[in-house]
Amino acid sequence: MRRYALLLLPLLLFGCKSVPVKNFAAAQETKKISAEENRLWVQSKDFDSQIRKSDILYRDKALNSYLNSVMHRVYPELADVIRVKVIRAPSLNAFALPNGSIYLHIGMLARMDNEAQLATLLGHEAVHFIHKHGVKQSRNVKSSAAWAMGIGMATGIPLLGNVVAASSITGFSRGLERDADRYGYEQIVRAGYDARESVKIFEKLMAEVKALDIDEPYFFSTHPRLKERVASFKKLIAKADQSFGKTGEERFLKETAEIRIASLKEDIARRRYRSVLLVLEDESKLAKYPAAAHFYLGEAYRMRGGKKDAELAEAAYRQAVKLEPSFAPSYRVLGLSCMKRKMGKEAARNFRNYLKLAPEAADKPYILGYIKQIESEGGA
Amino acid sequence: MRKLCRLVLIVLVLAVAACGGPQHRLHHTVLENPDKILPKKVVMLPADIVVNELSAGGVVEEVPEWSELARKNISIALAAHAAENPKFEYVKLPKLSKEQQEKLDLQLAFYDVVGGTAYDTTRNPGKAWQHKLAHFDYSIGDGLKFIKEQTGADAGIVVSAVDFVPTDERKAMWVAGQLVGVALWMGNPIVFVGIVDFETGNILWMNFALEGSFSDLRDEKDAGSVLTKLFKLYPGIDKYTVAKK
Repeated sequence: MRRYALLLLPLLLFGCKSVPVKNFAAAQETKKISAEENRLWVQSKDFDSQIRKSDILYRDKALNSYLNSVMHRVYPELADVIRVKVIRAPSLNAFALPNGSIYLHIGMLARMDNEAQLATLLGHEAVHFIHKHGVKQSRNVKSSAAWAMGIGMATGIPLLGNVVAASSITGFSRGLERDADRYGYEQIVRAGYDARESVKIFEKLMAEVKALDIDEPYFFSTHPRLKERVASFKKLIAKADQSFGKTGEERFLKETAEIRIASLKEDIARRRYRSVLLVLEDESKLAKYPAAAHFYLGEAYRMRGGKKDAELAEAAYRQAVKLEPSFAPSYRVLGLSCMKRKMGKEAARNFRNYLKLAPEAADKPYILGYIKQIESEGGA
Repeated sequence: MRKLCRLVLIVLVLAVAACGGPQHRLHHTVLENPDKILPKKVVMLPADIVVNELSAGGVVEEVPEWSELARKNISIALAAHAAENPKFEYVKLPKLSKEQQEKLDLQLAFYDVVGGTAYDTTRNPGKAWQHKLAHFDYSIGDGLKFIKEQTGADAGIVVSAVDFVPTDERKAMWVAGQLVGVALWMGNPIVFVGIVDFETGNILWMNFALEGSFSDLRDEKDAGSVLTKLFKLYPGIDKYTVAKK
């Protein structure tokens, strides 16, 4: 009996202890945070500092300026407190720290079609900061761990306690994500964006998860299932009674052109060719990328290495050369492809074009060697 | 970055604590020529002290104000130790430029890694790695030479520490655990101290202390007591020579 009384201990200890968490309403409130919040801010600052010193921060002043201008439009009262930064990672992710730093992965940015979708994501992430979800989550983790400790001591089975703690942690996090979806949605409508775009990011994620056969773990997931989120956004949109605002497609595509190419480059470097094909085999999506994307499409076909992929790859490289004649890498791979097929003259011409556009290329000695070899064989 | 390295050191300390052999480490050049090698003037480099709160359920979270207090106590303790036991002259670290500060941060992070490796390799050397202990030879390179050029100091004292302070709820859980025969860890301060030669980067001397749960680095007396204990084995040449066999 004494053992099972331990189950009550966390309740007695935590029952009435917590001070309520008040959301940030204005920038000056961020100067007066509690000791509990300050702990999280110090940890966040430490993380910011490490990211800043690393090479995974995507440094582009113009892009950062644009992203922060969209954030300011959605949350003008918190301008200069929330700071948007970009991480050089091709995965589809974004996260917010308790101190107002918001990080977007280039993969996530590259998947979006317009500014309204960007605003949806930024609006959502900012709510985690404004509604102090970090503090709430931290409290929940601690109380869940205490419950787990009590259960473990009472039952003598620590593993069960941990599983219970984990599931209660995920349930609470889902609540916070729903809060972020709902409040973020209201903000983008207020900022004049087309709210119908808000659901499309999640539809894209859902399509990608399905197409690439990615496991969306339910039990330990920290986000509501994508289907749930799509459904809840559709409900919000159905309730809307105003005329829908702007999408901001043109400006978004212009400002994120380089990011899209950077994301493709990262995907190819990590052999994530399936992700590249999923996006670029859709002609409507390919049309929104800079012309150099055709090169990466070619690379993805080459990596897949299926029955007709060599031909598809070559066609993509040739399209890249046609549409973006100043993009050096296309000539290099065409040169290699022609050399393989004993088309010496064309190979040498492509190699020369490559070196003309990239005179400092790291593989210049090799390319010069290939040209010499072709010349000696009478092919150039 | 230093926090990650500290976790590695903690694991190693707990492993070292269980093994035999000397507790401290001495560079082989100190054993060969102590009068020449041991520093005369030292700078206390920024201490890396983290004091965490240990919650009822075992969640660990740094409390910045406590870390700052512990850092202050360690500084006071070192100054007091220098005044009472003048083995060397203390020199203040000058104000550094942004680039110099970044270089110092990187070197100290590197020290954590090298120091951790040094302990790991020499904690239980057996026959094959006995020479690593007898001929202890680890260095972080000459990246801190600029401090010698600015201050005239020979070496720097590096202090790293981590402490865990249980909450009242954790203490209550401990009591409850005692009733049902479950032991809860209540946190121990772990303190590392080392002396690095600025010219060569050689780690001349290292020692650590794993204190009891009731020791608290936020308390000036406790911080002083840990430092005194650590420096009892400085340089500890005789004890090293005996213990490494």
